[in-house]
Amino acid sequence: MLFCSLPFLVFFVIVFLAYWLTPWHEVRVWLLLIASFYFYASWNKWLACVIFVSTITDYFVARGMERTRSLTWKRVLLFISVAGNLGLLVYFKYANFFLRSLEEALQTAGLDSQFPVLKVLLPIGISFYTFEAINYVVDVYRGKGKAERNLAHFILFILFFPHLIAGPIVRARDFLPQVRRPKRWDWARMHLGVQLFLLGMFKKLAIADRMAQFADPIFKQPTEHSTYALWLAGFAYALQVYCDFSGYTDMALGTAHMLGYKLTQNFNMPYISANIAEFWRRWHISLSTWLRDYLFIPLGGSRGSRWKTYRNLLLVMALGGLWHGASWPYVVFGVIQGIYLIIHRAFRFFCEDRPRLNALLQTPLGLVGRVLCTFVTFTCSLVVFRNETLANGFTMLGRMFVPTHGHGTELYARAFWISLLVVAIGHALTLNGLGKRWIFTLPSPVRGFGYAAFLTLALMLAPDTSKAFIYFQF
Amino acid sequence: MRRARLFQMCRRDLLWLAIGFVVFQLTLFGTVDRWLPQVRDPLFAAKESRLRARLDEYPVAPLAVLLGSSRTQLGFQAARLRGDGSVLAFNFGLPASGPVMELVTLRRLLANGIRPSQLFLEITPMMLALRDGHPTEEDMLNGALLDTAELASVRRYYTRTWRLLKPWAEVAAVPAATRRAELRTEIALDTWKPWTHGGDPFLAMDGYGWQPLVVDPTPEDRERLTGLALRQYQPTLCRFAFAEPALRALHDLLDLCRRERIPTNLYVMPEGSLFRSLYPPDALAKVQALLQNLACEWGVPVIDCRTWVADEHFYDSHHLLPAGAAVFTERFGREVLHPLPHMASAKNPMD
Repeated sequence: MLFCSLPFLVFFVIVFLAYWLTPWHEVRVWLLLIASFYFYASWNKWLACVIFVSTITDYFVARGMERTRSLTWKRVLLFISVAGNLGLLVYFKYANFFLRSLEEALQTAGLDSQFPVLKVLLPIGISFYTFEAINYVVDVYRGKGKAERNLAHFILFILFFPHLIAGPIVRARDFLPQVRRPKRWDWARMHLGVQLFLLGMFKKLAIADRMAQFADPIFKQPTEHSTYALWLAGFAYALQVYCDFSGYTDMALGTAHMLGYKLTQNFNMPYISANIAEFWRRWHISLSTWLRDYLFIPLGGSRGSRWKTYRNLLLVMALGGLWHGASWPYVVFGVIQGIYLIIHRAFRFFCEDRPRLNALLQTPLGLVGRVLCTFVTFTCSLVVFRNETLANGFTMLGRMFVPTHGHGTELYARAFWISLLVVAIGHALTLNGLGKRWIFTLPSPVRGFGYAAFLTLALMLAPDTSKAFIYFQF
Repeated sequence: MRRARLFQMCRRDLLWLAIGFVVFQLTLFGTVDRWLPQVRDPLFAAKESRLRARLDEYPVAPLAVLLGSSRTQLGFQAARLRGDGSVLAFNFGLPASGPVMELVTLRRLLANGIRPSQLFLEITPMMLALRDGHPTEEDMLNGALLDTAELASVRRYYTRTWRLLKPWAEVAAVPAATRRAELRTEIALDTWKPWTHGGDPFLAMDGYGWQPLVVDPTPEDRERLTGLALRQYQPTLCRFAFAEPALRALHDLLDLCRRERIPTNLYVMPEGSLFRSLYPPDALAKVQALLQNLACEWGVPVIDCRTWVADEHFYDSHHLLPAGAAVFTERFGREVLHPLPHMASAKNPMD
């Protein structure tokens, strides 16, 4: 059930009406719980049961952890929960990848080995709700949060349908207090929810899916296209992946707002970042902060020596890459991000000793240069991320940097430039709340018709076959 | 107080959003209905534009138009008959067309100033029959292809009006979504380069309206497609009974031709032996009797081409492959089109 599809619209209208027509808070919680279970089960009911069981296990483990005074028992329970969650993730998502990689490694070493291929279906959203469950039990273990007593509330924290499939990765301490709080109809919140949903829909249908028409054929056969087409495809994919994922997040946030819940912000105009560290503070914020809090800091963060920090950065980003999917291009994408972060850190130290260079980089022109440099380097790493094999990814990168003849794009480039311009204008309007202030100076009918035009345009520009959200596969 | 004002503003915004959305959809609907027939029925528009191009190319040749179903669409390669310029034949076969859609098509052509010198109307027996107690065409004609005036005029041939209105209403409700591809083409928002197949869904259609669907089927394809055709039509043919609304539409069509003084012919497209064997003897007798009656009553020649093409030239025993289309077209040109007396003296239909 895609957010921008008719089945979801019907589902959401029914849930929305039933939810707000119900006067009792606890009944609303149960209603959302049933709706969320149905939402997931509409894709696969058996895997919905798997999440359900694992969630209940986490609930009891956390309760047990809170009740026991023994540190050993707490650790045992933490281990059970984390191992259980990661075990499910590894089994469903990574088992075949690890087996295949081991098999290839053994074969390379000259050993004859063949491992069976496990026939498992990847539960959509497993990477997201596994991380949510882990952050909950770890917080309870650390005493940063209390174990939830109400089972229904806890299950809703994991299963809440707006964030279930592709995040944002919510924290129990942000979400559970909202579940406890009775909800009141709020027009401002409804307005915000609709605004976010429309924005997300526009990003997904009018930009991401159209950019896919540019990128897909070229990424399929990178060796047959010219350098210009490859760069265009790279940039088109950068726009696609951003608009697809942030579009999904906006729709998730909008849907949640319409039900009286606030989910965490996941994107903050990442493509205007002046360096890669800033980029990762603006891109997929809920994952970045999760990796920081539950991996980078426990590993020592940046408190140790320079080399230890570099090691931690590389390790965390490589695991972050692996989180995206069970294949080497994702791992290498993560490693590249780690290397970028290390280079950035080293360059920062280098600049600190050179005030003139530092001042130059702080000028408006220097800022534009840094933003462009960050965007281009991230796009280059996406080329590896998007290709199915590492060989393809590096071949494409090679052709991007060595001028080569070949086919052009299948679409006229103006669609790409227009989309880029739209995204740039969107960013410019969002900066310093400029757009928001300007929008609210307009009379209501103009604003309402503007939203309607936005929706109509999104529907018209949507390709005939809508693509699933990229992050559903993660 | 400020909060109350904020609430009021938000409520108004959402109300205006709803109103705006309805207004935009109604505007799009009205525009498509009134001024953009090519968005509503792109296949008809594609055929019409090709026909106009041929008329510009052969300004003095008499025009013979074949109106029919997918059998005609796939089976008549009018381009093969252009050789001597003595006749301009055009394939106006449209999928799922029966007498109702043929009537709509002829009305559109006449309204757009195209007047055939000779008209050939395909008679597809299944399209005149009842299926589950209702006219077969009722289940096949897509109401979304019609404008509001056409919708009103064809309602009388429907036993279940909702069957006509449902697809129309579904598309008319949110044209921004349901007609998005055609609208994008219309306002040049699609930016496929000419050498790609992304932009034009009728790229495979030749300049004379012929469009192959299946070119080189494997034996498995043939088996599957034949099975599909049999499942679709066998029950109708086994319990063959004419649908009164379909016959009425056919009479109205012939009446229109007579009023417009368009020389008209009826023809039955070739069928494979397997498909022909589906007709029980009484069904065949009923069809033949109907054709004879029509010939007598309306003075129209009837051309029965059912046995003209060998079995290997069909992919599902009733739709022709390109080679079969060539066989049929050559014979149709030789035995039907060229001997017609009207063809030599007729004027350019655009005059």
